[in-house]
Amino acid sequence: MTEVLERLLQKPEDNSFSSVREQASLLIKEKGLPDKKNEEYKYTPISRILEKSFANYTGNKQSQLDVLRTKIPGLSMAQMVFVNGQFSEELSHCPCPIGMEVSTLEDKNYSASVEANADEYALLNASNLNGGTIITFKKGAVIEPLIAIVHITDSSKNQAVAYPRVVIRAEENAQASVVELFTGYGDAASFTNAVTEISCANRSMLTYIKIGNENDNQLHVGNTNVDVAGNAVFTSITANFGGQMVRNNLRIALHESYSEAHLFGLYMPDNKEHIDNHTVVDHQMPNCESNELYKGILNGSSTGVFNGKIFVQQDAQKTNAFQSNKNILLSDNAAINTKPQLEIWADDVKCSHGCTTGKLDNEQLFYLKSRGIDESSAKVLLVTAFANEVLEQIKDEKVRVYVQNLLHKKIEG
Amino acid sequence: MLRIMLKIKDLKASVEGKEILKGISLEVKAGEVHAIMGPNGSGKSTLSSVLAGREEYTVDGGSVEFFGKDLLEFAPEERAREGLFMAFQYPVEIPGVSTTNFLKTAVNQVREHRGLPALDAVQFLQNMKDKMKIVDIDQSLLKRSLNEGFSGGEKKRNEIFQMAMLEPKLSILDETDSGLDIDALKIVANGVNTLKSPENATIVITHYQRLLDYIVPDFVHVLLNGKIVKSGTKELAYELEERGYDWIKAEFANA
Repeated sequence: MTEVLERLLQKPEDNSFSSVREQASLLIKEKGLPDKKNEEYKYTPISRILEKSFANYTGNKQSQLDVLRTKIPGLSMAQMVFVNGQFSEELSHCPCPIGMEVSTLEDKNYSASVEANADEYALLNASNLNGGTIITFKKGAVIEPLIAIVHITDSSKNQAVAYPRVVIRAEENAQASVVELFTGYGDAASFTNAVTEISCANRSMLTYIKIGNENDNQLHVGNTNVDVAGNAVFTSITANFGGQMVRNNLRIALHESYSEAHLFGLYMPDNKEHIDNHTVVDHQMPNCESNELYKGILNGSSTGVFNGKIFVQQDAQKTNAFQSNKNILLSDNAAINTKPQLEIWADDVKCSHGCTTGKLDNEQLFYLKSRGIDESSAKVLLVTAFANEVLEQIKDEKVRVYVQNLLHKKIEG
Repeated sequence: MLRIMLKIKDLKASVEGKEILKGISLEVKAGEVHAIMGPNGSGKSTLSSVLAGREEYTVDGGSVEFFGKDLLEFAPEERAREGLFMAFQYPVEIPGVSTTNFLKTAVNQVREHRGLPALDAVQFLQNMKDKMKIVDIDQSLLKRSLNEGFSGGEKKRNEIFQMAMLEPKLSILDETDSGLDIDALKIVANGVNTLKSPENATIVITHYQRLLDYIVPDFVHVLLNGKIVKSGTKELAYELEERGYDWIKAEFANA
């Protein structure tokens, strides 16, 4: 076991998750954190940076909530706020709409699934499990307002590590939208290791938005696992606007017939930032559909990774699965590694994938400039147009405007 | 005394090391319409590209003054703000950006440069509605992605609509007649004529005389092999239509 892993595994205290923690930490100690030789993390050597930045990590310091309240934009739209992974009652104001229930993991006798083949960072999260939240959208409930969760990793006093865990359950026929915003405060190194578990029961419709607005001293690994039942529609929108190194693992299992998954992504690293999206759509049963569109805008000497796996299992006849990854490199030093992987075991399916990488079109830039528009505004127009195909999927206006502002700030530098 | 707007003196330009403009001189005064005609490959498009500020072209000699200022020193957006407008022969498609969308930014950046207050949304919309009538263009077209799926006529009308919105001093119409049927041509020409005033000027670049039936030039220049070899009045255009370019080529070769 590496020294950093030892530091990241908190001393087991007695809590209701002791057995899960023990199980998970046995596994992670055996596997170790993934290094460069691990195919899945070849381009994203997050464990190496952890070793460097957290060699002296001794635990999180207490946060000053009144400071965070004024320093974190977007906090006002949040019903639930977590600081370094812990629920903050002071910063939250959750009037629960009718048909929605919020409980702690303990109250619901939650048991995290710990499997040997799970992602190493998901195991690390489970090894440190110390509370979390379950949001349940009740059978038949239609929840109009978007439910917003903000995670702040506060490294203003010292290095900080957060292990947030959120469970979202849409019961039969329920309809709801949830946004999780990950952000940070402070200059010391921080590491957010999040797990979100989502289940969509029969005929439910759930939209899940994940926004990452992190600083260049922040590391992030998020594991989002989604189970979609029959006739349910799940939509995910993942938008990342920075972070020293960010890795999103999104796994969606369509495990009953006539279910749908729509996956949208936008990533905008610049300077030396690195953003990695790994997605898996697992078609297990017939007549399911998945659509995936991920778009990247890379500036500076930033790097990006897109890896999209689609599995069509033998039973999953009449599957429709589409995947597309498009990238714009705004600088000669930016780079993207993109890899679609399709494994198809059924013989009556429609699947397609494609990826493009290019620069901003000089003809388009010249046209706009010839109308009197300065170079930077012209770039904003073109990049926004490129990103809009993803952003217009965000139906909630407040969140969409918030994200558009992040995008504009990022282009203008 | 009419004010000199554009003064091109012995302009030489090349692209990828190939010399195309070999010494062009031309003066345009306020209120005038100049036609520049010439066969394919004579340098017509290069001239308009150099004036608009395309980076691929290298100016090897000569000068271009616009209201006494060195035009070649300006970036493309500064040229536009100073009052130069280019109606493109092949307007580019920009998916996701509508005319309404970018024109508001353009109009206000141009106004700021000219010391005018920015237009708010209501004023901008009103201004648009007034100018839409000039080229008989529909608002729904202006909300669509720029030029994506537009017909040839719609593209060119959109160019003249933008010209109306930006209120330039000097407009260059680069082969605006190409790809237009006669009805579209009339609408476009009518738009240009409506916008004509004693304070502005137009350069019409064309291969054929047809457009000049509707936009009547004060002067016609023949561009051949990178030089203006003959200048005259609109009658010269008729002569070119009738006799083609060969007699000029022959005359020029003998000279």
